Amino acid sequence: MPLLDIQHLRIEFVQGRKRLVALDDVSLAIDPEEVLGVVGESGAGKSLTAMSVIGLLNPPATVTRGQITIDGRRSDNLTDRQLRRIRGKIVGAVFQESLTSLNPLYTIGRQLVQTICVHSDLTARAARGRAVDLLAEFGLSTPERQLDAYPHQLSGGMRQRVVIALAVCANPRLLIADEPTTALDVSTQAQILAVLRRLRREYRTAIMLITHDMGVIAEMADRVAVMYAGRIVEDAPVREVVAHPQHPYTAALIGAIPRLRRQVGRLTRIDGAMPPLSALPRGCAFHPRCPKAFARCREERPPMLSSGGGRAACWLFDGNG
Amino acid sequence: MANARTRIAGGTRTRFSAHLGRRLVRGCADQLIDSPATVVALLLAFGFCTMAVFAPWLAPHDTSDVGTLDLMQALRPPVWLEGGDWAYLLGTDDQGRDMLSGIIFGARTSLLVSGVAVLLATLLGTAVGLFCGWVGGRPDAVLMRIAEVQLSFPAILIVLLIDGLGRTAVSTDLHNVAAVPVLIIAIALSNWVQIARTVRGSSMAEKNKEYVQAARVLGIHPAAILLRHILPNIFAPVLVIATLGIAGAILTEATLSFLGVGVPPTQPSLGTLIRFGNNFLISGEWWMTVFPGLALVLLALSVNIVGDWLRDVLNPKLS
Amino acid sequence: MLAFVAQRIAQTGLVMLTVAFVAFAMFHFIGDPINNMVSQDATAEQREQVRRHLGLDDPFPLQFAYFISNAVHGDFGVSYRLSLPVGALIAERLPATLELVFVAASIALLVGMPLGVYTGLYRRGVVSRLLLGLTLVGISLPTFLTGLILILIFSLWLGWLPSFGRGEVVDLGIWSTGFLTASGRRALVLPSITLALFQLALITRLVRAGMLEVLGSDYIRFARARGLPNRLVLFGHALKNTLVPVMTNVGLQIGALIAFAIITETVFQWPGMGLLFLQAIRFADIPVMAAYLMLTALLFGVINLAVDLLYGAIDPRVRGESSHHKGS
Repeated sequence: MPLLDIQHLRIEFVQGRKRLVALDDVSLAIDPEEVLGVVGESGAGKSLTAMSVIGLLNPPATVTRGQITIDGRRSDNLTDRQLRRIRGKIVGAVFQESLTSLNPLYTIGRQLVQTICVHSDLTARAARGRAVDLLAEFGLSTPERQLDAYPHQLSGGMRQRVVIALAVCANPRLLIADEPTTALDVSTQAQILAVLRRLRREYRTAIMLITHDMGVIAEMADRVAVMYAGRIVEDAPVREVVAHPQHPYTAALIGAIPRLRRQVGRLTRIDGAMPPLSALPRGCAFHPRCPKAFARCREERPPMLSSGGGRAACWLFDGNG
Repeated sequence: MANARTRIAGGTRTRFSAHLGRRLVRGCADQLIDSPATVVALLLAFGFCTMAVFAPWLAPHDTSDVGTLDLMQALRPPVWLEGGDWAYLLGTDDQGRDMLSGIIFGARTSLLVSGVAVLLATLLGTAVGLFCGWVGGRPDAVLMRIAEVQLSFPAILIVLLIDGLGRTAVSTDLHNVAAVPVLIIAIALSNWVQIARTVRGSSMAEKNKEYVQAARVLGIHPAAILLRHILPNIFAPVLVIATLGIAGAILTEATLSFLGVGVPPTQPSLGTLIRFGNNFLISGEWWMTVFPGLALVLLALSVNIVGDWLRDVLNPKLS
Repeated sequence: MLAFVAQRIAQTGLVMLTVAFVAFAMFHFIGDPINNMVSQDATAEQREQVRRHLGLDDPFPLQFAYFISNAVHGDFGVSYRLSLPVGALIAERLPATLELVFVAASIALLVGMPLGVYTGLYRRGVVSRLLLGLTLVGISLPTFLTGLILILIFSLWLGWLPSFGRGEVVDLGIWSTGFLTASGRRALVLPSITLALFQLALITRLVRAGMLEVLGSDYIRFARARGLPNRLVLFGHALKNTLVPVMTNVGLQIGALIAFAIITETVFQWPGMGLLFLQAIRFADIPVMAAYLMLTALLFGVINLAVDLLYGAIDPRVRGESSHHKGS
């Protein structure tokens, strides 16, 4: 049984009488201990998907169809109070900006102790001990001293580690990491990815790793879901995706990764931009930019079709599954 | 590992004016559906402006013409009360002046004074803000320090002071002639700071953006860059602040006129009308206070609602 | 923290000096003070004598130094209009104004802040939208009109409360207070509400805007994502963070109350310094204007300083504590 199962999710921005479909027919599953990479451009719907899992969509965005199951239980129809038992405890979440994720007015120790106490019966003193252990485990030197520091006094990499420690201090079974390395420099990125790997290895935490960086995915994930304009266009094991991308969009993404040793003539590039949600074209949303588009792509929207080792939403694979 | 986004994203920079126009139109359409209050306020504000412009033709009586005054008509109540007269819809004051005409001419004065004052403040504030944002360094530090000091003083006090000093400086004969310009300058000087600070912030942010840097490298004259690239970007926040500033200026003008240090008593202003009416409040002639007061509040309220709406529609980052 | 405090105090001092200079310049450049001190038919000889006696022949910086030193000792000269020492005039009227401002500030803060928090938290609710509409009316209502309306309703029509004056006051040494008598307290009701209303509406709007910004912030969302209970998120995190940016503005609004007291005092014939100042403006009574200006500047300075210190106490970033332990 998958740990997280999203079925036919649709999210709309509802404002007055106007509605804008931001996410449509998204189905995803994450097994226990699995790392699922979710890639796509900004605005493709990655973060919306993640936020809907922990019920933290910002107001105009509303789930209007589909269901979300966490650990065998429906979660999309829960009240805020019920959701709170899932947040942090079963599903932890880390956001992109580590500086703004921490409350600037409190020491990181206070924020950690508070969170640990909410999720356990530990005394403040014991919680503090646990906080020190967590920080040490994630590679912060002199963790006791760091507890008294304010967020602005730490470097970006240290802050992101604190953020991860906060997200996993109650041992959630799934960690949603939304662009956890985007704001960091390359060497710090590597350290944060090491922390995530460690989490998976030692705590057996499943991870939903959201990024627009195909390279990070190739390095970390077991399986990849590629999103484009509010839909999933390909869902396949990472090896398959890297070696034989099925959807033309995925192929273009893979073609855009520069490689050190291999001599490639030039990097592929995708012309044009993802259409805004308010102006999605008929048929496949990618067809205006797709080198392989044909008549049907302009008329009908392709469903997810079996292809290679996974599934892809492209008419190229109609009839060969 | 390069990130894929930089290669895929082909951001286009929309032409500013078209963009703003579209935002306004779309916002307007939204509001028509979502908030009838805004529509009413817009109509009201528009109505007041029309009234102000065409006051001499719209007002049933010419209140400035002493010859038409008729003391027999003094202290008439509004038309629906006993003793009311259709010629004087909202009643008359102790001199027999028509309240409705007084209010129409008063609104004209209020809008004229506050409009010109805010226009001056906007020009000054934009100029100083652009200068500070562009030049930076010491001149910027000095000007912004001055702005900060002034900001720690309430506008009304500054206006009172400038106005007070202004009347001390000019001779008594000039008083009535100079009062309105002095008042306008005083209100303008109390309003420039906020605009200057916003413009400075925006222009500093714009200055460091790539397209402006590129324009500089290309050797385009700074004035041209300011005009072409930076000014359009600060237009939205300035428009919002200026609109809300007009509401504030209307209240300031009325307050000063009420205190007897604003518009000279010979010129009708909503504040002056209320001041005169105040003397008759106790004896029961409430209409002399209530109608100009109501007009004043409606005027300020409609401008405030329009300002609020502009802020929501244009959504500029205001500090 | 110490450096921060010192810097703030120095800044306040600089502002005071600037204001003192403006006040001094008023004396120096506007009108000839001699005209106000000697009789119309004084000879040039007499005028020169007075001039020398007053030190008006001294070089400009020296005169300014004298002016400052006198002001520090509470000597602001003699009122042109009332021929009384300005220091004593102001001292007599200061308590009335400060009591009025104190009560109004309390009303504006104690009502405005909770309303701001409430409308920020439940911004889609009917009550919130109604309140927000009312605050818009509040900031469109000039203080003097509020006063007149309240007088019309509560003094003239209902006859519940007095429409002018301070009522009976009790002298406590140099301070006369209206708090200790029933009539004094009754007299305070309408003026203090009048004075508070505009700022109350403004503070509600400021706090609401601040609250909305904080509630949309990443750290509040992250706090929720960690499973912290609502109560803790709102009262443990959001409230304190809202306070920080709002505080400076609220401080300015409290300062503004002192200025708006001029209007309230006029409407209610409240015997405070605002009324004195307004009369001084009408009669170009420069010594009174200068003294009032410097005193209010001092009050603003004290308020802003207090706000800054509170700011420093709440926000660690302002204290300028440098890097704790950098490196990763």
